[in-house]
Amino acid sequence: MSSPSTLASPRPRLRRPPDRWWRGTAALFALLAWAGLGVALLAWWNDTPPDSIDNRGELFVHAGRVTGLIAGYTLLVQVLLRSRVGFVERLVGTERIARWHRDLAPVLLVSVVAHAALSVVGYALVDRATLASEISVLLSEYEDMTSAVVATGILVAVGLLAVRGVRAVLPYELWKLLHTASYLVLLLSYGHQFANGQQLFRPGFGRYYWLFLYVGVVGCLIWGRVIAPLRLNQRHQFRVAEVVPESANVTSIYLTGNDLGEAARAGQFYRWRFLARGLWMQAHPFSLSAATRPDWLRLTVKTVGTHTARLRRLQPGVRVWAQGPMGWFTASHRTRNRALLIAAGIGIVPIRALLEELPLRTVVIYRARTAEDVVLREELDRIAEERNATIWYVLGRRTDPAPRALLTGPGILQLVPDVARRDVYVCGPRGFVEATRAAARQAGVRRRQIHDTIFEF
Amino acid sequence: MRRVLIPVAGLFATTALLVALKSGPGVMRLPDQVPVIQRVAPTPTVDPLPEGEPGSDPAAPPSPTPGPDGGLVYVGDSVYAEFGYVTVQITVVDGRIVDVVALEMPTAEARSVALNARVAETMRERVLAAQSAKVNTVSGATWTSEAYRQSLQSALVKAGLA
Repeated sequence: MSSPSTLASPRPRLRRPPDRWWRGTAALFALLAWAGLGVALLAWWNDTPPDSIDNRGELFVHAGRVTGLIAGYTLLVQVLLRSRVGFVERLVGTERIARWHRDLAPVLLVSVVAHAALSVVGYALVDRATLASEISVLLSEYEDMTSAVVATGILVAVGLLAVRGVRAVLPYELWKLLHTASYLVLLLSYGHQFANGQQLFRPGFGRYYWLFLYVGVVGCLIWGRVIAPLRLNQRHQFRVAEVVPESANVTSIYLTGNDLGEAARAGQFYRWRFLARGLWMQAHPFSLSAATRPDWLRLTVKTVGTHTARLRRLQPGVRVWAQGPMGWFTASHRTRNRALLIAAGIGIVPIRALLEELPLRTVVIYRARTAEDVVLREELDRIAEERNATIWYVLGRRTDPAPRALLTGPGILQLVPDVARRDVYVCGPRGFVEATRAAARQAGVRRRQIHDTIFEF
Repeated sequence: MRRVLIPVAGLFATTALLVALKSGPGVMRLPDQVPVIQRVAPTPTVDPLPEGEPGSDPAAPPSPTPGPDGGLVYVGDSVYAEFGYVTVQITVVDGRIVDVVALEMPTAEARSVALNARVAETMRERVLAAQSAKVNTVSGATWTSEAYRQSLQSALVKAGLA
């Protein structure tokens, strides 16, 4: 093993044409997902003769069915997106998965509540019963309806907890644990779908289609969350090799293991769980801060809480459980032969790794509060020299003139006149990334040339 | 906020559109204005045998038929009840209803399937106790109970008990 604390010279990667395989794969996934919803609704469409909805009760009952089908399908898509199964991660990309999952959540919540309300009102009208008696009949006479009600309660609770304001108040670990309760929704709600769902309760196309959907999604979930991580960790057997402080509050952790050369592309991250006392309960996404070598890799972490503070005291030999690699923030997702890398604060971590894999003459802009906050400077300067790259250190407070100018189109153009012909990789806090995106667009960079990773704590 | 409103508006628009496309005229009526429909007996496709005795109707089911315990079995009309047909059969011994069996219950909807067993059992007990079709409907299954009563009534008429 090459001594981890002195970086071996990076593998030379010369200019290669960018890979383009990933273009439009997210759109392909979205198209398939929409088609699947179409098929689910088609089952209802074919079961319902034209003009058959001829009174107010039926109207509500059928609206309840349609929203129920949409709710059930959306739930499955939400679980599939979060299953971490390889093909979804590769087709959609980790960042976009998070965005879609968040955007679909209100649809799921509203459709489930609408399904329940419309069904109760509709059947009460049809039966000429009061709402209260209809609810008691539904609960007492129908199979699995009690668990469906519990599932709805859990879903609503999980949904309300995920509202940004509420989420910020809770400790992350607790929040994540509570969010995991969503799997109970899947478990508790499928029974009433197959026992009482108009398109599902009888053997026929609808039932087989939904069985296929359930088996597929649960299979992906087991694969992505259990089998694939087991195989990965069996193969690599990560262990802590050395812990190196980079500054007062930034730490590098070197890991050893088997067969690490292709364990990740530069710019990607794993979710790491350090199997040591006080640390094993939590898994956190930390980016690699150097391209992988055959026998070691390195992650660099900023101290932001008790967990990250404890990482500083990790002993060599501690086993590490990992899930990944994840992320589209890689050299293979570029569209041009030149690149501009922009980092704010600890966002330098994946940028530092990417610098090794991107073409020569890359430009790096590193935004930090003070010179003391700049980390990995020696190796950045050395790699820059080897790879003919330029590094701009932009120091100062957010309100100082230079950092402010950086977040404008002309400011970027001044530092990098040919920015429109480069891929732009941005990593940092959300506000910084969004402002930089806007500035890059203003400087003439096309949307697909911009790649970002948001660091949130 | 737009990220929430647009997809949710899409959900409502899709639901409304689909349901509207399948709606017939008068969709805003209340359900109790919908008439209960009596099933029309299927017309025979084969001509009656020429040798048939005049006056006998070959399309009519043989009613009554002798039951197992010496009673006479009468089958009521099939009555449509929102989610399917109900057909009730009674067994009569010495002018008393000794058994009521639902030969057919609505199966068009999952929810009525779930209710059928309870409706059939409850109605059977009530009819045997009341010895008539004047029994209360089963809560939560008004339509099915109503059709059950009508079919039962027609069986009672055939048996000469109503």
